[in-house]
Amino acid sequence: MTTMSPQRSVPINTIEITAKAASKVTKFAADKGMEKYGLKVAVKGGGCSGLTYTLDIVEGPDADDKVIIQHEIEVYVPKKAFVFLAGTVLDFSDGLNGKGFEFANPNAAKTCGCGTSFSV
Amino acid sequence: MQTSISTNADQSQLDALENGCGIFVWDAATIVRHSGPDALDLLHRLTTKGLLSVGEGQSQRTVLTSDRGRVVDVFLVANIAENQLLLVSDSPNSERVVSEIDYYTIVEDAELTDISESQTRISLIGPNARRTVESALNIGLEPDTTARIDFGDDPVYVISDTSRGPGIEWIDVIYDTAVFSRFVGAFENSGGITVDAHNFELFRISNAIPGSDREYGEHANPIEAGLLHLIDWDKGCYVGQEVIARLDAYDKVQRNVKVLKSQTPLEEGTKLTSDSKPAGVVTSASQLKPQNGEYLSLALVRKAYLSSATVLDADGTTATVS
Repeated sequence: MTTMSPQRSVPINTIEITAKAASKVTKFAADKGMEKYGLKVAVKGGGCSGLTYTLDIVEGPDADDKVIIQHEIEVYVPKKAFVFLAGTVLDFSDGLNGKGFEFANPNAAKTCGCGTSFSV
Repeated sequence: MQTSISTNADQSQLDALENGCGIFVWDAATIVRHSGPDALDLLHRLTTKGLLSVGEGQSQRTVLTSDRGRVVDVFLVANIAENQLLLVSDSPNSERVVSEIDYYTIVEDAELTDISESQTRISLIGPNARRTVESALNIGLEPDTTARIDFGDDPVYVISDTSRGPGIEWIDVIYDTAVFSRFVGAFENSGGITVDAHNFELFRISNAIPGSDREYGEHANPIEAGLLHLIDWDKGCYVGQEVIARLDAYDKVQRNVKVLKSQTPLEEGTKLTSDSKPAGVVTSASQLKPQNGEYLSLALVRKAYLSSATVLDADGTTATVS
């Protein structure tokens, strides 16, 4: 999971998941034998730069989650985390040098070397 | 810059701190309740020490650094009950640690309550500190543990801290301000001697114990500030970890805390020089004259001048690195 520079403009009232990232989520859910699922994207305190991305495949949204549907995937973002993620593109990079899920977060002023944490 | 008021140190107070049990009542300190199932995990992710193994009844001091690797605060984490932590720091500015932890509390189930105003902190210091506390409060206390005593309706927390320096016995007692005098009396009756702020400061300086907003603070990283022992190098990421790891790996730390001796008292903030070249800055300076006649100060001294007996100039006063 790494951070990349934003390459396209995403409305700030949503986050975008690419088709490739969505297909990976579908595959991971299938591997876990889940029929009903969604992708929980959040931010928690910690990591070298202070804020760390978290990704989980879950059965459904929590009460205070913002729900975004793209590529037939439901994405759940806690409202408190959304302020740090608005306008973010979630992509997936595979292959030998691939880094897995990548965040292009326009709110990130600084990221750590490994890309899993950021500051705003 | 403070005004110099030079008086003699109180040898009985210093003896208590060095050889018996000194009782120091803090005018102001940070005391914060941090509750919730995610509180310990959050602090583990934010600070320099691995905290996940700090179970109920245990305590551990840790450093909160900024993403630039500078010290925000140093505090004791006491695990006082299930999902209940007590955070205790030497800083009189509780707002600093509260606002910093609060900023990083996003999806975590954790809540901060600043109780600095309603609680009093006493530190018992010296080789007999534990014995004094155990005798006065009729409890048993192991190193780096915390105990709760119910005193009427108010809980009293007793926290052992072995991180202040090699061989230094340090115990913090936290309780409601309204009943504080009864505790001081109990500790005095059990052999402790109350020390004032000036003699406590001289003890701190002579033992090179880093002080809040003196040796550590936003102006210093934890390695140069004498807090190296509070960094776990194998715990994984925390805020500022990348910067701190790089400072260590590439030997980029430029200063260290050293004790200085001088014939006249120094002033905090005085720049140190050697042959007119910058050599450091005085961070704490005792105005008390110890028994041996040499005044003591702490300074952040540049790498080239760390050797014992190095002579530096402190704005016209000769200071020798101890």
